[in-house]
Amino acid sequence: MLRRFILPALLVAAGATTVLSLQGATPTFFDDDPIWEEPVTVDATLAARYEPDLVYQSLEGLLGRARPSGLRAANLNTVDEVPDGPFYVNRAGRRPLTPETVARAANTDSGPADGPWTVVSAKSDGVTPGFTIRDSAKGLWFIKFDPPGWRAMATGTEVVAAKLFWAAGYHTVEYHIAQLQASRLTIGDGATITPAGETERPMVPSDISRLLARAGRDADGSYRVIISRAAPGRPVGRIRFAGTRADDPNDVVPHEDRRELRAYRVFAAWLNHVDAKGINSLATLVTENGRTFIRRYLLDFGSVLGSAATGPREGWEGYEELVERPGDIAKRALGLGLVTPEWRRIDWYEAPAVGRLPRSHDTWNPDRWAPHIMNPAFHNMRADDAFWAAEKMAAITEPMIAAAVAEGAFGNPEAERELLRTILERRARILEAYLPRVNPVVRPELSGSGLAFENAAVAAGVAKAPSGYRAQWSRFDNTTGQATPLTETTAQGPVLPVPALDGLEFVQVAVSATGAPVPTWERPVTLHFRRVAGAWRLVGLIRMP
Amino acid sequence: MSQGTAVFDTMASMHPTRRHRPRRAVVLLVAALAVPGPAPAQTSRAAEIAGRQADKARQLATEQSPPGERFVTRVMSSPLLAGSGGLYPCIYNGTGLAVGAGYLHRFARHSRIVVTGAGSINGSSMGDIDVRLPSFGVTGRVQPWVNARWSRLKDVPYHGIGSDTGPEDRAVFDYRPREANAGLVARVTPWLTTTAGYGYLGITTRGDAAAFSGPLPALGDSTAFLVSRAGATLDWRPSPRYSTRGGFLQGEWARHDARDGAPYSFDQIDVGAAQLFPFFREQFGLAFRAAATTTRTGDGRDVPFILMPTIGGGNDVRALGNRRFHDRSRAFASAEYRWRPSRYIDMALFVDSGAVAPRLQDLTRDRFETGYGVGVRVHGPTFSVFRFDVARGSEGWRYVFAGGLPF
Repeated sequence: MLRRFILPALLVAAGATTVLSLQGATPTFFDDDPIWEEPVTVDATLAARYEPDLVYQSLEGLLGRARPSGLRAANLNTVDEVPDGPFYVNRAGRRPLTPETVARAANTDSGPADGPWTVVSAKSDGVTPGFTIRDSAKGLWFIKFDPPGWRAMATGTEVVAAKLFWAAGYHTVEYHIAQLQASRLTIGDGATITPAGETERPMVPSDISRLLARAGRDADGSYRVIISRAAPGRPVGRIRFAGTRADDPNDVVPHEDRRELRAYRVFAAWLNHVDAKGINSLATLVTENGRTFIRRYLLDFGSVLGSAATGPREGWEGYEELVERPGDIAKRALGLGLVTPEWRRIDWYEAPAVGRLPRSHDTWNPDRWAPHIMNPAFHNMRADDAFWAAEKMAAITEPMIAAAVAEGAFGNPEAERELLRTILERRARILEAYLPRVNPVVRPELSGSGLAFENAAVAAGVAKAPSGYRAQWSRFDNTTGQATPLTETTAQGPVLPVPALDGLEFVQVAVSATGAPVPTWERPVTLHFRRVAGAWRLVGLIRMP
Repeated sequence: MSQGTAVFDTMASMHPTRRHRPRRAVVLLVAALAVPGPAPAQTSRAAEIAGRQADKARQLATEQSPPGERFVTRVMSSPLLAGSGGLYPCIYNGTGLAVGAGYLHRFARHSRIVVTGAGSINGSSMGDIDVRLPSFGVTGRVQPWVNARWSRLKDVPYHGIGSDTGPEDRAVFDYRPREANAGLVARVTPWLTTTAGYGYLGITTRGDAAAFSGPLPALGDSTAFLVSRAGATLDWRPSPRYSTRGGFLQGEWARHDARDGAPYSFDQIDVGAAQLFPFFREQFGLAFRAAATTTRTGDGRDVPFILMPTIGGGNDVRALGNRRFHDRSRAFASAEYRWRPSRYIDMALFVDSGAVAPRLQDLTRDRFETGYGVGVRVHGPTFSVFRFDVARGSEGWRYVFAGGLPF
C-alpha cells in the first residue's frame, strides 16, 4: 500500500510543489528595480484628523523608550536609497541643486497677496503670539513674530532651517519674511481666541493689540514676521515616529523603520532642531494625479540653531534631553557642583539677530546630540542610516548653505557669518563622524573597463584613502538568490578590474577596502549588477545587512 | 499550511480501517490537495508593494489615541490644568500633616477665587477663601484682593518667652484665628511692588496655664484686632518663586489695634534682604539672606504670645522646631551654597543662625542658635515645587518638607 500508492502520491505532490513554487517564486530583483518612487496605490480618502497629545508624546518619549531594533530600514529600494514618496523627495545628491534653488526651496511666489489680511484665529498660548490669516486671494497663511529684543532671531532662523530641510529632501511649506503694520490686520467673521485661563470666545481688536505687545516691534511701529503658507490639502494629523497610520492604506512600513525618519536625527543634529517631534510636523490629505494620499511635512523650525523661538537657545539644548539621565544627576549631586555638564563650559557667541551659538564646534560630537525628546525612529538609526544622511548633507554645498542663510535676512553681517560658520562646522563634524563609520563605497558603475566607484569619506576629505580595494565577484541567480563565487580582483584605487562575465545576466560584487583607516571598511558593500541591453545596471546595493 | 494539516489528518484516519477501495483516487486527491495554491507571483517591485497596500486597505481602522494618551489628554484638558480652574488636592505642614482640597476659578483680568479646606491627623482644620479682584490701572498693575480664613490648630508648641528656654519647657496649646482682610497690590515697576491692607483678626488660645512657664500674654483669651499693613518689596530676581541670581529688599509695617480695650495693641516692623551670587554660569552659587522683626507697644501694653516674632522652622532656623523661640524681637540669617545637579533639581549646603530678644539691641551673639544642613529642591524654570531639607543643631536633627525655597 505504502509503496504502491502513498509514496508515488507524495512524490507527485513534492514535484508539483517544486514546479509551482518556482513558477510563483519572487525573484531577488524585479525588472523595475531599483524603484525611485514609493508606490501610492490606494486612495486614503477615509483618513480622519488625529492630533497626538503633546504631553503624552513627551511622556512616551521619556518613559517608553525601547531598545534600538538594530534592523535595516524597511523602506529602501534595492540600491539602499529612499524612494520619493509621501515622506520624502530626493533632492541633494540626486537632483541638481543650485544656491538659487535652495534659496527658493518650496516657495512658489513672493508671499501673501496685496491688501488686508483677515485674521481667522490667533495663537494665544505660549509666549510669542501668532495669527492665522487669509489674504485677499483667499490664501491661508500663518504669521509668527520675533520675541522683543531678538529681531530676526526666530523668524530668520526658521527660514534658514526650512530651506535646508527642503534641500535635504523633506517636505516643507513656503516661508517668507515680511514687515507687518498692525493696521493691515482685520478680524474676520467668526474669528475666535482662547486666552490663557479663559474659554474660547470671539476675537476683539484689543486681542490683537494684546498679542502684538508680546512681539518684537521695529522703530517705525511695524513688526518683522515670518509668514508660512498652509500646507496643501486637508490636515489629518502629525508625523508619528512609530508604527503606521491605521487609516492610511499606503502606509505599510513602520515609521521607526523608515530611513528618512531615522536619519532626520542627523539633520536635526546638524541644525540643532531640538524640537524635532510630531507636533512640529503635519500630515495632510492631498490629491495628485487622481490619487488621494497623506503627505507628511516638517514645520515650525523656530527652535533651531541659536534660537529657542521665545528667546535665545538655552545652553543645555542639544546637549541633554528634556530630563537628564539619572546617572548624570547622581554624579553631579555628589560632586557638590564641581562635576559640570559639557554645555556649561561652552563659550557662546550671542547676538539678537541669531540668538546664542557656540563659538566653536571643534569638540562637538553629533553622536551625543540630544533632542528634547527622543523618538523611536531616532533610536533605531543605524550607521548606514546616518551615512545616508551624511552623504545627502555633503551634497548641500557651502554656497547653497550661504544662500539659505541669506534668505534669513538677519540684517547683521557678523551674526550671519557666525550662523554660517556654525552650520558649516556642524556639517563638518557630522561628515567626519558618519561618512567613515561604514564602508563608504558609493556610486558604483560597472563597464568593460572596470568597476568604478567613489569613496564618500575620502571624497569629502574626512578620511584617508585605503591602501587598496578588493572585489569578490560571483555569478548571481536572481531566481534563487544564490551567489556562486567566480574570482577576486584587487586594485589600489577606486577602479577594480573586471573578470570575464560573458553570458551572465546578473553579477554580484562584494567590494571592501584593504589597509583601511577604519576597520568597518573591510566589511564589503554588496553590489548587484544586471546586464540590460548590453550594459551593466546597478540593481542592488547593501551597505549593512 | 492548512492544506498540509488536512493531509496529515486524512492519512492518519485511513490506516486503521483499510476498508475503502478507492484508495488510488483518494491518494491522488490527497496529493492534489498537498500542492499549495500558487502564490500570486509578483511581476514588479511596484506590484509587490501595491499588494501590501491592498492588504492593508482591507484592514483599515480609525486612527485614534491609545488608552494612555486618552487618559493624559483628559487630565491635561481638565479645567485646572488647562488654566481656567478646578478642584485640586493640597498638603500643609505645621501642626501635623494636613491634607485638603482647593478649588480655583479664574476670571478675566487676572481675577480669580480660590477656596481651600484641609484637615490634619491631629484634629487641626482650616478653611480659606481668597479672591483676587480684576486688576486695573496702567496695564493692570494694581490688583485688589480680599481674603477670609478660619483655622483651628491643635497642639501648637510653645517653650516660653526668651532665648534661654529649653526643649523640656515644651507645652502645647490650641489656637483658633479668624481673619478677614482686604488690600491692594501695586506693581509700580517690574522690580518694585507695594502692598497695603486692612483687616480683622480674632484669636482664641486655649491651654493649660499650669503647663507653661513664665508669663503668657493672652493665653486663654479671645482677642480681636483691626490690622493695618503697608509694605514694599524691591525684587530684582528673574522670578520670585525660583531664581539663581538677583536679590530682594523688603519691609513691612503692621499695626494691630486690639478691640474692646484689650491691652494688646502693638506695631510690628519686618525687614529682610537676600542676594544670590551665581558662579560658573549658574552651575553653582552662594545665597545669603538676613531678616529682622521687632515689635513696639505703648505703656501697659503687651504683645500676645501667639503673635510674637519667633525663631525656628523651615523658613528661618531649620535646625529648630517650629516656633521654637518667642520674644518681641528676632533676627536671623542664612547662607547657602547651592549647586545644580539637574535643571530641575538644586541641592544646597546651608547654615542658619537666629535669635530672639526683647529688643533688637539685646540680640547678643550668645543668644544665637545655629544649625546647618543639606537640602534638595525640585523646581521648574521659574518656580519651586518642593524642597526637603535635613538640618542639625543643638537640639538634634530636623526634617523640613516645604513647598518653596526659604529665600
